[in-house]
Amino acid sequence: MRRWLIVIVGLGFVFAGCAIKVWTPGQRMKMLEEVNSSSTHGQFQFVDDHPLGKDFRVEHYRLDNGLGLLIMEDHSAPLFSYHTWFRVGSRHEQRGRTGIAHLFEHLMFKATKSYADGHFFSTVETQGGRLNAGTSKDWTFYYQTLPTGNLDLIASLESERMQNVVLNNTQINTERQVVKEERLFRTENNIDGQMNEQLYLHAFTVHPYHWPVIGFMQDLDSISQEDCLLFYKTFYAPNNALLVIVGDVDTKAVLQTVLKYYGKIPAQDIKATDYEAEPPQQKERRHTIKSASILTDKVLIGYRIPAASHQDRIPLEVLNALLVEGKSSRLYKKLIDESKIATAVSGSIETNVDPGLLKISVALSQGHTAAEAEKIIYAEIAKIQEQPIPERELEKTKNTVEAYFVRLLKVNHYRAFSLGFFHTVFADYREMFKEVERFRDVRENQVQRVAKQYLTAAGRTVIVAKPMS
Amino acid sequence: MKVEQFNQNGFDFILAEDHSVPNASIGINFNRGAVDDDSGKDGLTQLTMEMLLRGTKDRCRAEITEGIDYLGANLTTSAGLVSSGIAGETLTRFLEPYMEVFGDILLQPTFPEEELEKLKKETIDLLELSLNNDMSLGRRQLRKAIYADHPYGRAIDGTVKSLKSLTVDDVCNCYQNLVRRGNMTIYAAGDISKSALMALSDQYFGKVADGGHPPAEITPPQPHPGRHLIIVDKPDRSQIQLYFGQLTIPANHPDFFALNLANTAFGGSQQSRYTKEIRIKRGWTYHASSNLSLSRDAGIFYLISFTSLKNLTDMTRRSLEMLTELEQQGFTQEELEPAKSNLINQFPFKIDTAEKRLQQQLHIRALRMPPDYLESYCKKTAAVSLERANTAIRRQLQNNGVTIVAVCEATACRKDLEMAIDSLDSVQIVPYDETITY
Repeated sequence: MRRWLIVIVGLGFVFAGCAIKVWTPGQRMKMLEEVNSSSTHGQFQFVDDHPLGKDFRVEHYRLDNGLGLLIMEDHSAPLFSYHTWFRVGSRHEQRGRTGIAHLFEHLMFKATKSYADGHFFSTVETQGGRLNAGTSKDWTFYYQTLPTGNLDLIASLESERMQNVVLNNTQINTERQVVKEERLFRTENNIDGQMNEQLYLHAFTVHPYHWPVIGFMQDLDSISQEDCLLFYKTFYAPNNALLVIVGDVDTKAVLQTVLKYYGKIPAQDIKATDYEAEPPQQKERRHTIKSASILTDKVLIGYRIPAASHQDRIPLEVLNALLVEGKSSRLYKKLIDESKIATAVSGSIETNVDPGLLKISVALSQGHTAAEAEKIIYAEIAKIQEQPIPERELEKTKNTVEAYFVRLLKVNHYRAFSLGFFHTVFADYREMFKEVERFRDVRENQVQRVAKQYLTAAGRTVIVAKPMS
Repeated sequence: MKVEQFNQNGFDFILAEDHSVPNASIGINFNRGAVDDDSGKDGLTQLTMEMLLRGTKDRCRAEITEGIDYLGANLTTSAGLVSSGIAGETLTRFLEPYMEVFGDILLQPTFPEEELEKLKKETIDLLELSLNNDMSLGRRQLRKAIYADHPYGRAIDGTVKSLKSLTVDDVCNCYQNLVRRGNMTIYAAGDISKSALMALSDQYFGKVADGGHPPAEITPPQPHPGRHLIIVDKPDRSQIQLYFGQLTIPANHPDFFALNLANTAFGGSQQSRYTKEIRIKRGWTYHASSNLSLSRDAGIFYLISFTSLKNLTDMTRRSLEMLTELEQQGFTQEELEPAKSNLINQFPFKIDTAEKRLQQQLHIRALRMPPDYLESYCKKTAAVSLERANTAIRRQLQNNGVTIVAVCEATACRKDLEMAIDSLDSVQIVPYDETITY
């Protein structure tokens, strides 16, 4: 699965098929005038639009307090997804206070000035909604998928917690304990979590990608009420946020509702977070973990690669797919099928705002070592760097990407996630629609070039886990 | 977007058309699963299914995987307790080449000995790898303890011992019994018409042997009264995975709707009693929930959570107290109503895509649920009264015993656990690496 997707008879009622409204420029202007004229606080601007598949269209608006809004109507099922994206992640944290972005994700479900603790969950769940949230290095998002008719309700709840979360010590301390338990679950008691944390600790020395999104345990204990208040005021502002609303909704009703609940929220002065760029890596970095709770070796390799917006990302994605995507991929065949030294192999490309990693992970079989796997991996990379790549192998990768995009269009939540992700990381949701063509245009020599440029011994960090005995 | 169920040329079909995106899911479901494996042959059905992808008269394994990957498609096999299958999806424009591979693996498998030995090794390797995951360790041990020697206690993916004993003859026999027209349901969802599905099935599956027979009836397992503690002993743990489970009703039981509602109110959502107490109020854990695991002949009701050593005694004691309170006092109307609204209002999620509508029908058939299960779901859930829910809890949970599974370091936790569990009837310590070797 690609990196940016985290990380889903004759019935009592029948979903009604319904044509999607396509606005002419004149109709849209008239509709917007009607929406804006009814408001005493805030005005919407139309920004742009783009078709999605053959049946749908994404519309992009912006409120004058800076809040972005993407709407995509689809009336095939009586449900809609409501995503709220904030351009804040662990990258915006300070040393000594790591984990605050993720802690905040938890705090956002607690009491607000108007609602008691538990109200958010109970209200959404009583309406049959599904909800959760996620924090990454670059962003935080909150989502709900709800039955039709709950737009006003969810807009009122989300706008309330954008401005009125109660940040007292009782709420902060309860969630602090929950997050510490989450960290024990994901990291201390999980060998893959430990290896991943070590990978970033070694691959990044000065950039904030050095520390884990969940934060260090001692930092979680250090976060104060003042830290939380400052973080909230700084980053949870409409001009740092994007709403993505996809499904059984009416565009005009969405605009009116969002204006009603978000129009009065003031924009904040958000200063760019200062941080050091990570210097180039000059030689291989390596770390070994000894664990009493594993029976076989594991190895995790990270190669430094450029930011998601760099033109080399697409050939790197193709390279990654050649290596690890599917059972016909090169490393699966070599490590599991032919040499039989490994149990599992996987890989991913990070799509971060700043330069990240291409990661390859291997679980070894009993009696085999990480060193054996490394030897095979490096040999396969050298082959790609030096030998022609068969056209059919490249075509396979391109078909895989196309199929992935087509399947993405089936579910409201994934459509909303993809739109939100692209608009947050690439600053324009329309970049998403260029992906398939970009993959189609990749040539063999580009894949070889990025393999030579980025998959070098000096540019890699290797984390090995070994059984204690 | 309806679901059609029909028979044609001796094949049983389920189809959920949806032409909004150029992609189709296609699969075959067999009415046999792990419960049909002979004793000591745990994992045979799953292994047989996977062996379909390991070589045919026309293709070696590499050609099968490359052929499917090239299309951007996928084709995987699976086995459950009472059913098994092959399924995947493809872009519509590749339907023909996809079905050609599908038909080939179904009708012309050669079950090469070398591939069987490789697959057995890979499966054992994966079992060993699964020992890294404490949650799956706990769940596997809970199922084994509650179903014990009943066929439902079989390890679907096998054990190290059973896998080593399986032969090509076992696989061939399993295949011969399984792949028969009368055992199969062909299903599809997405961008494929009824006429196309029938034509492709005739062309690529038409030579499947006739025959087949309904699955053997199974005597339901019996509850295990009392309180039993199983410690899965794993070193180097700073957090303990905890399960509290007991045997309960089959999926088609008249008390299903009442118990489903009770489970939702107790630990099935963030607003439920158990979750609020353990996570939101106490902050003892990141996750606390209750679950109703449905099966054809007997399900499992269980709580799952995890916590650090300092909270272990309190959390274990409180979890058991809450189970007792549930069985003895049931719910109040104020607790039941939000759970009822939650279940009814989230019904559209069960059927909002063609694939989900299709899966619901397969689910209904495999678990022998009433044919009107979906149509009556909201009405029957709404009709569950407080008295009905509380009666179902008393009838279906009380006196069934509780099995507690803890994944932790035994030396560090045993004393705390024994102190927290009143009236403990038995304690068993299982080294974690022995959970897959029996």
